[in-house]
This record gives sequence, structure tokens and C-alpha cells, in this order.
Amino acid sequence: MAKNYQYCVAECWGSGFITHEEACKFRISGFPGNVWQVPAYNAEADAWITKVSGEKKTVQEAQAILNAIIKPQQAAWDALPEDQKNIPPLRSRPTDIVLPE
Amino acid sequence: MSTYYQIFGGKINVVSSDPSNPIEGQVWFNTTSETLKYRSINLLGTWSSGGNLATSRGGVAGSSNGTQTTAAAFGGNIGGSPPPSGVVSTATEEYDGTSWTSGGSLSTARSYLGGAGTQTSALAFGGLGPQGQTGSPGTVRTETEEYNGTSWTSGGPLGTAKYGVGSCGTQTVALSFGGASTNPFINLGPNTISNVTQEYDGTTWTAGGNYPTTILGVAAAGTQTSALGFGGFAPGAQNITNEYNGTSWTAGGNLGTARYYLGGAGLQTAALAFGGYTTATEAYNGTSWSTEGSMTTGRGSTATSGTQTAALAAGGAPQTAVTEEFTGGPSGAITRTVTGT
Repeated sequence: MAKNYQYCVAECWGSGFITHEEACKFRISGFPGNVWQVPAYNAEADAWITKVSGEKKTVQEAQAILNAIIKPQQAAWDALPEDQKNIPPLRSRPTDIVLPE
Repeated sequence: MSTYYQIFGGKINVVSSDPSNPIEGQVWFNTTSETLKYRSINLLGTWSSGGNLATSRGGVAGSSNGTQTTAAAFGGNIGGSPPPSGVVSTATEEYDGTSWTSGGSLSTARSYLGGAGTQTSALAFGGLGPQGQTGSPGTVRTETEEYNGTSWTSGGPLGTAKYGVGSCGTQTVALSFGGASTNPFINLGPNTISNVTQEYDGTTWTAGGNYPTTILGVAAAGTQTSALGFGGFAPGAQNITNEYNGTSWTAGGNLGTARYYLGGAGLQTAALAFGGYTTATEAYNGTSWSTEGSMTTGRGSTATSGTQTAALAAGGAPQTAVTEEFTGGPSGAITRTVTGT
């Protein structure tokens, strides 16, 4: 099955990391762990990954990075006293993020 | 199945250079680059990267009446897991359109505070202070502080301690509405959320017309006498919009995406809503909201500044240092290359 997205890990250095021109051309989504999602089979997205020195990851590898961040946060939330847990809108259990292919 | 000819009324041109003024939807093959190209339809604004804050923080306030390239961010929650907990900041950072540098520190550390004014004439008020239960943000604050571009000095305190207010205006003509007055880590309930509006004259906060509902984490745009409130938590994420004329609030068009602790920028009739623990961005024309290009990083409680077409979002929760800059549409159609295998 053809994939819709590709993933990489790159540290956002600030201005110029994602330019207005790049944002006009294709969608870039950021996730915890410096994981970035861009369209697959897209030459401009490929060029952006090269520009930011992105380390390409499979969706499974990217998912593992997210899980390694989110699962400990969920465990920390689970360990809170009951009266410290659900305090909407400031604190609720960190939700899982499932990356699409 | 319809053909390109049937839809467009012409065949795909084969040319050695791109047409100088293609129209939206036009497709052509460039023999020089050996690429198939088309003219896109792109009327949406987009977000691009700005300089990162020196300190990652959520519940941070901004000089909401500043610009995209001249803004200040102050306060916020900077530690703990799960957030918000731990350390609450006094730090101020100033943005020059490229990078953030340190400014003078707030006298009172706090998060989820109100912010107004400009980089050199900012206002900070209310918020959740550092005291209280171990590992949690503490006392709800009344303090107002005024920034001159170098240091903060005390202003007149809020009549009632609040955090999570909607805030807009200038340092000497500011507006605060909604928010909550009870430490949510000790006593949460719908009755802790407020509908009170307060107006600042540079010295004293006085009562304005009540917001139509109790609301927390509401976004604001505009001025003290021509303000816009949108989104919020009541409890539950809200999509409501209300317009203030300096005396009373009236209903406006609903947001497409209900959310709270979203960012707001611009004017009552030309506002921008973004984030709120989503990436969704919407623009208001005085009557209704329309979809704009999404943020790259979804988050809530960012520092905001700027206008509907040139907005700034810095930091936010989950705690991040990321800054994004919005450039409004219509950015015009652009030429795109068809790629793929």
C-alpha cells in the first residue's frame, strides 16, 4: 500500500526551519521528540528534509519515539493522587498519538 | 470520466518555459525541466518557523497588541511532569522577528496570566503563582505589572484574582474578561469560572459589562471598546464568539472548532484564532470564521501578538519553545510541480 506520509527527526532551530514558501507548498506537522511529518513522494518535502538535516524514520520508528515520550507522561499522571488528576482544562491524561502511514 | 479538455476547455500545453501568468487550475508540461506543473489554488494563510524561545513554557502571556516582529513573552509554567506543575517563571523575552532575547523579569512569577500592550509598553495581570500545593501552580494572583521595555513596575491590582482570562488592549487601556478565581488544583467546579469583565485605565481596574457566559481560557482580540472574545472552557470546549462595544457583549459567529486556551490576534472585525490544543487556525471577518492554514505544532496557552494577517504564536503547552509566524492569505496561487512514482 502506498504511504501518504514520511517522517524524520530534526531539531527546530527557529527562523528559517520552515519558511513561508515551504509552508505554501506542502504540509509539515510537528510532534513530540522533534518528529516531523511531511508528504511522501514529494520532491519539495524531500528537499526540506535534506535542508533541516532530518534523519528519516519509518512510521514505526517515529511512533516509537512518540511513545517513549508520551508513555512516561501517562505513567506520571497515573501516579498522581486522585484529586490531582483530572483538572480540566489545565491537566488531563496525556493522550496517545497514532501516526498514520 | 471527464477529461482535462472537457473541464478546462483546452489541452495541456507543452512549453519550454513556464507561462508568465498561469491561471488557477492550469496544467502544463515543461520540456526544459521535464516536469508536469500546475497552478494551485491557495488562498489560505500559512505558518512558518520563527526563532525559538530561550525557555520552553506553557501558560505564557504575550504583548498581544504588539506586532509579529516586535513582541514580548512573559511568565509561564516551565517544569514538571505531567504539566502544569513545578516551576513558574518570571522571565520576559523580547522578539525582533528573528530571535528572542532576555528582558526584565516580572516581580511575581506566574502562569496562565493576562497580557496586553506592546513590547515596550506591556501589561501583565492575574495568573497562577508558584505558591500552593507541592508540585502544583498555586495562589491565583491579583497583581498587575507594567513593562517599559526594560523593567516591570506595579500597576493597580485586579479587583478579583484571576487566571485564564481573555485579555487585549494597551498598557493603559486594557480589557480582561472571564477567567477563574479559585486554584483549580484545590477546588475545581463550574462555579469557580467567571463572567466578569474588567477595564484598566493605566491605574485602576473597574467593572465592565459581564461576558454572556462564564468562561475560562478564552481568546481575545481588538481593543477595550471594540473587543472580541472567542472559544474557551465553560466547562467543556466552546465555539462561541462575542463582541464587546465597551459596555456590553453581543453574540458573533461561532468558531468552526470548539477549543480553549487558544491564541487570538487582530481586531474585532479582523481576528485570527489559532491553537487551543489543536493546530486549527480560523479568521474572523466581523461576522463569521473561515478556515486558514493549520499551525505546524498543536498547543495551547501561547504568547500571542500581531494581526490577522501577520500573527505570532510563541511557546505554549505542552511546554514548547517553538515560535510560529502566520502570514495571511490570500497568498495567491503558486506554481507546483507534479511529483510521484
